[in-house]
Amino acid sequence: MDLKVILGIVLAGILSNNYALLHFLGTGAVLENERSSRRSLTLGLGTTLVMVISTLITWPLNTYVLAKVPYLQTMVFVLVVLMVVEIIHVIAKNILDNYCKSDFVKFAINGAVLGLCIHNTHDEFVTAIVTSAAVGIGFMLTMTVYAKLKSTLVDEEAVPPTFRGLPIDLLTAGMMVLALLALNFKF
Amino acid sequence: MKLLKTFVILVLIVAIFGGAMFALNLYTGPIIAKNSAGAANDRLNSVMAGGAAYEDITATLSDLPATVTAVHKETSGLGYVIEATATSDYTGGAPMDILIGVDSTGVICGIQLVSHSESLIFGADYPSTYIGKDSALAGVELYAGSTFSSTAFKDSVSAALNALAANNLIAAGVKGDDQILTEMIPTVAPGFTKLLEETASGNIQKAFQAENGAGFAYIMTAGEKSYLAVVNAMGACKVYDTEGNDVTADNAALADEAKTDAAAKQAAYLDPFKSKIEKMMEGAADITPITLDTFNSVVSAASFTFEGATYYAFYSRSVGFHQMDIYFIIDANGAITKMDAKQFIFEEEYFMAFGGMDVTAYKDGFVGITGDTFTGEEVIIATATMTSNAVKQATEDTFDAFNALKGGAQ
Amino acid sequence: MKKGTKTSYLLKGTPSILLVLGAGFVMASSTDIRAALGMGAAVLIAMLLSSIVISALHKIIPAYAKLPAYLMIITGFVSLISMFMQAHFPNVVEMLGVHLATLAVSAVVYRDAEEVADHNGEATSIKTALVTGIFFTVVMVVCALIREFFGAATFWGKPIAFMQDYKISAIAGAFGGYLVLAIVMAIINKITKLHHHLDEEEEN
Repeated sequence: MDLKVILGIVLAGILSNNYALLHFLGTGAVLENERSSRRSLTLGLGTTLVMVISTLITWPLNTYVLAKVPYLQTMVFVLVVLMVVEIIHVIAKNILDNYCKSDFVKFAINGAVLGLCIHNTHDEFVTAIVTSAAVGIGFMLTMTVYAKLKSTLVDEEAVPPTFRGLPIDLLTAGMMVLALLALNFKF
Repeated sequence: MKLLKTFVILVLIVAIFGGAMFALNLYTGPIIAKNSAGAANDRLNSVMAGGAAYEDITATLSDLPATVTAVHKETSGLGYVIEATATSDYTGGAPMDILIGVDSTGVICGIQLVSHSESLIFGADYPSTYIGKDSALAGVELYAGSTFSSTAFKDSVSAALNALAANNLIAAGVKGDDQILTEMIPTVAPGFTKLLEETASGNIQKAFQAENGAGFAYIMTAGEKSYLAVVNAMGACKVYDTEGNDVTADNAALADEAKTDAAAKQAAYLDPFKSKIEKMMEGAADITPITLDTFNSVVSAASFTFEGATYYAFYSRSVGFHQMDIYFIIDANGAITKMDAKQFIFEEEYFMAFGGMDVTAYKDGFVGITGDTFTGEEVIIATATMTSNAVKQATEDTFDAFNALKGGAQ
Repeated sequence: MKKGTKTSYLLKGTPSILLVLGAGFVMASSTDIRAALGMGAAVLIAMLLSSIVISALHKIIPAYAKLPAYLMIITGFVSLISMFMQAHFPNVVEMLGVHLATLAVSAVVYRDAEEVADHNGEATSIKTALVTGIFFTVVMVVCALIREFFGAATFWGKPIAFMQDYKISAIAGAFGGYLVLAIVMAIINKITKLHHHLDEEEEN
């Protein structure tokens, strides 16, 4: 695969193909995130790993096994994601527990991972793997930047009372969306 | 043990739901399959009411134009659905996608612009003006304000229907005389842009004026026959019959009628052109207007003397992003002495990103060029393709006019 | 975790937290009223069915197996619902796309299962599921009304003639999702004065 193509997919994963902000997949996980940058990065990295390994398994499964029974797709995919998350959690227990206070399992089973696995079934295998890594990196950066933004920018007193909490969080994320859209030159 | 138990529970849950899904699929599976088949038909049925089933016959047809992407045959014999594309100068990312339904007699029964990325698109009800027409597309007009896109659209539809007719699937539409003659105008008078219909009288059945003021076109009848008469801005007239033959000599009366009608409506270019010549070449004398029978964008021509030598001046009204006024002065040897234009760039309306141009240097770049040495490179204005093309057309037309003048003088 | 003390966020008066978790599918499906209603129905039924099953089974399933077991139960119901919808509302399923499937791993449904159904009987669970489902449907439909009207100048997919020249496509897009939900949420806060509860919740 061409380096240019790979670079394109990675950039898209962070910008135009940003799952949490633009595709609304895993948005809840990002909006909820108030962790420190180090924890966010660890969780994001873990999620990226889950995305790549899940795609490695779900893509062939979908292509060769599920073609006859498409209605089982969601169930099988969730099962695969669940197992991958559990296995990673067992293997990297020390690292994850130190950094994430063991909420990794609940965190990593999110809409972005499942949505990605489903989206990836429409792509070539290699493209799907690269996309997974790209989307994972985009997801990691988004949640880290968002948490940082939220902790530094928002002065609760400056926000009208009715807008405190979720509304201002949404607007913060919305501003990030605008920045991404500006980079894409389309609205 | 914990792991085993978890595993057993999971297997149980998955088995139960898997079974339930299998059972539900017995019920939903056929509906979903029918839905998806219906969705494909729905798309084609949108231009072919009541279509039951379709067969893709694209591969069996010969000589399909590149714009036709697929042809579907309605299996019960209702007709055909054609998928076509069209591209214009205003096409952004992707070409227009068009769906055309043609009944078995070759009449358009439905047409749809499925998607487009035109920056100036015709109105949503424009495609419906095609319904009820055969491959001749008689009476279908272009859409004012979106000429490029509607021309591309019309050409694509026309090519698609002609391709079906060529494959003997439908009968080709028969064009009336006045349609044949109207469609001939761009060929015999390439300098006429966007024909605007005028009032007709006498033998004149239909009258058109070129929007750029380059002349008039008339559909005229004499006895049983129809003719096309074109009159340029300099007052020259030519008459053509339906086969495209120049029959001016045999129809002097028609030509005179056309000339008279045109003279009454023609904008006067000569006087402002004379003062323009005097401005461009201070001291020009003996300015004599010339009538040329070219039907391009040149609207006025004159000869004059300057410091003892003879020069020729030409005034072209080609159209770029806007109407342009371009002037050339050519010496007796056919080399450009001077070039000028009222305005090149209409910045306030279009060129927000335009960096500006060195107008003087640009004009000087034309000096010395003859019809033989003109390459087309000279006209290029960076970022202004349409303006560049207009200047190119004006230059070529001027050299053509000059050659006609020289040929006529010999 | 004390048994029986947990109820839903909504019944405690903190819909904000619930909406954070469901923000993704709320914004994704509020582009069109039909999609909003479809997603609302899917959320409601998925929560209802999984709550009933989980509150019936929670004593049998051991603690260590709860997460995967509950997750699979929810996934199963979501799959069944999406199959049914695909048969009868194919347009809605197409509009929702992957978001219908990802409902299976939505934290809204899961936390409801974990925190309510796992500790309460069927009655409370059903009540919670109904209230939450209806709440989400209403929020999505309101957002969809606004986004369709101002963003796409349509209602129920049908063009609104007099709005055609004034539509703001950004509102139908991703940014509009955030903007409109934020405003709707702020209005809900204002009406119900729920933000007081929210502040207390955050202080705890």
